[in-house]
Amino acid sequence: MTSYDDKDKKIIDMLKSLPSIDDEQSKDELYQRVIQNIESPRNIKRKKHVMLFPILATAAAFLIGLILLPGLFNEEANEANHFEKANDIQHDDEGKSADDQSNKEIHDAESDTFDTDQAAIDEHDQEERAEKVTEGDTFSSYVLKQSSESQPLVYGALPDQYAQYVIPMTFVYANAEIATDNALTSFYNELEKVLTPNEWGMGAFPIKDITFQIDMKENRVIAEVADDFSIGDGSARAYMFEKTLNMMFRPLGIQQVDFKTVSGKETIELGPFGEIDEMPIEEKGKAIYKMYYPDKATRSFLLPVPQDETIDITTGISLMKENELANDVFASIPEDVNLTASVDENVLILSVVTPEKLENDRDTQVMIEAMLMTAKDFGFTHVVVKNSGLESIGPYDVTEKIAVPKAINPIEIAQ
Amino acid sequence: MKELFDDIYETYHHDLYRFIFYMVKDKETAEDLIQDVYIKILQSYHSYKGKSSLKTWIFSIARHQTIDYFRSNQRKQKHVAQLPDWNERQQHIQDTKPLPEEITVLNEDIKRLYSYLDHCTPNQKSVLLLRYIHDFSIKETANILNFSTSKVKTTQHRALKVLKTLMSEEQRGDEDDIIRR
Repeated sequence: MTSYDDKDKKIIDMLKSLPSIDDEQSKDELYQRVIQNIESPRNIKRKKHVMLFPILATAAAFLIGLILLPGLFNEEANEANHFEKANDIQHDDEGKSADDQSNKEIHDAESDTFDTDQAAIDEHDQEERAEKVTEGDTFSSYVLKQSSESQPLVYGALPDQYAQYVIPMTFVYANAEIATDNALTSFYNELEKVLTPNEWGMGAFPIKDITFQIDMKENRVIAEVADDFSIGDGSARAYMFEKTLNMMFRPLGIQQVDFKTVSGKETIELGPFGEIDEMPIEEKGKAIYKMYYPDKATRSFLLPVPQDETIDITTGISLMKENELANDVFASIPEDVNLTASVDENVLILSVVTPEKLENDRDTQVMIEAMLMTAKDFGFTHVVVKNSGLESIGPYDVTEKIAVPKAINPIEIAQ
Repeated sequence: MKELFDDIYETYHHDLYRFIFYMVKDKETAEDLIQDVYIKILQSYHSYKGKSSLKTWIFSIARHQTIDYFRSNQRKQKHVAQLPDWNERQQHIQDTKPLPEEITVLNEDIKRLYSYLDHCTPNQKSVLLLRYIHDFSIKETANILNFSTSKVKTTQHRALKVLKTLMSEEQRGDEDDIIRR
């Protein structure tokens, strides 16, 4: 049985109250067109939709013209007068603008005084952490290139320590054979052993007490759970459970997870989803990428911050410059680096407006890798970086277009 | 044929038009699509075996017509190749047309909800409309969409979550505005 919370019920009530919409075409008219189209299907006849608005607009423009026409003859006589008035208005505006500006400065000065202490603390904290991001990590990259060797990849995910986000990671089994269903199944069932959430400053793995069987041919995973399996109460747990499953299996091309219990029951009770026997893997939505680096963590990760599908890439880039200090999430594009974006088919073209701010260092590599992942989630296949003043950034040749990565946050597992 | 058309029109037309309208949110497109639905119904009625109810069968045809419409619409858009499938959200068919009169008279919350429907994928939207406007059961909705019942449940849950999140964000925004004032 599906369970609804109060907010669900409110939305459902609102959906139910959406009004009827009347079809304005007559039944006979519709029937005639249907029959005509059945009898001569090569010549599809549609209802002629009268564009009422342009007709009305044209008529209105004509009427306005008629009304204004007599006045036009007096225009010349009035012109000098208008010119003087316009000058007056302009002076007034300038005066007003100057007043506004001075008021704004006073207001800003007051705000500055008020916020100084907190701003200084935040800034110090931010700078200290940003330094950590560039110096603390010894691994080479936050992404796995498309051209990487085809070792078996196992995709894991963990919630951040505040349960706001889910952070994906990719385990690269360096010496393993080609990924068969059995090998992948075995890696996935051992996944918890290679996850170290405490070291990484993350929350506990939400997928517990489940045995997976991967079937790549059918793009399915069978998830076997105990008879008394529960993901616990609350929609937050259900959210983490669902998102983690999506991140684990979506990159493999898995389309759904089929559930069953050890005693053979083919449905399980899954919190707010109700009693289900399968869960379709959700399509990837848009996300921008920032850095996740809690205070005592041993390494940092690129973190996808989900976005609404209506967001454009320019807005996405501006959001990548924002820190979320309360969540230990840091900007991936430095505040003083300005980029503009344009699009050519599947290629995102980034132009650096402030090349003097870029060096071939770790910060810039982080920015490029976060941009590559963001571009991938926005549906681009390649990124071009123009006017960087550099030939290479980390392992990337920026004189060429760069393919978006194969995977994120690679962690090599030596066997 | 006229008799069959009359029967279906009298029994289902109102609901059918309403479903198609809320899927495409444009009256003219809905008129064209419902015409295509009747053509399909009249042409293939002989193949209707009665395994599902007639209403379910008719709605599944309507749903197919709207899928075709969205697909052909997508092909006309730039970056069509980037839109992987029917689960992709409808960023390309956001409301740009004036609201129909029936919607303009509604309260602001419901107008927002109407607008937010475009943030759902077409699959999510279909499930919401079939379940909550047309009162189809989970099983009937699954038959119309050719989904499993579990897929209907998860799609429904995800769709409600999309709307809930957007409505909450809007509410938070309004509260912030009030505080700033």
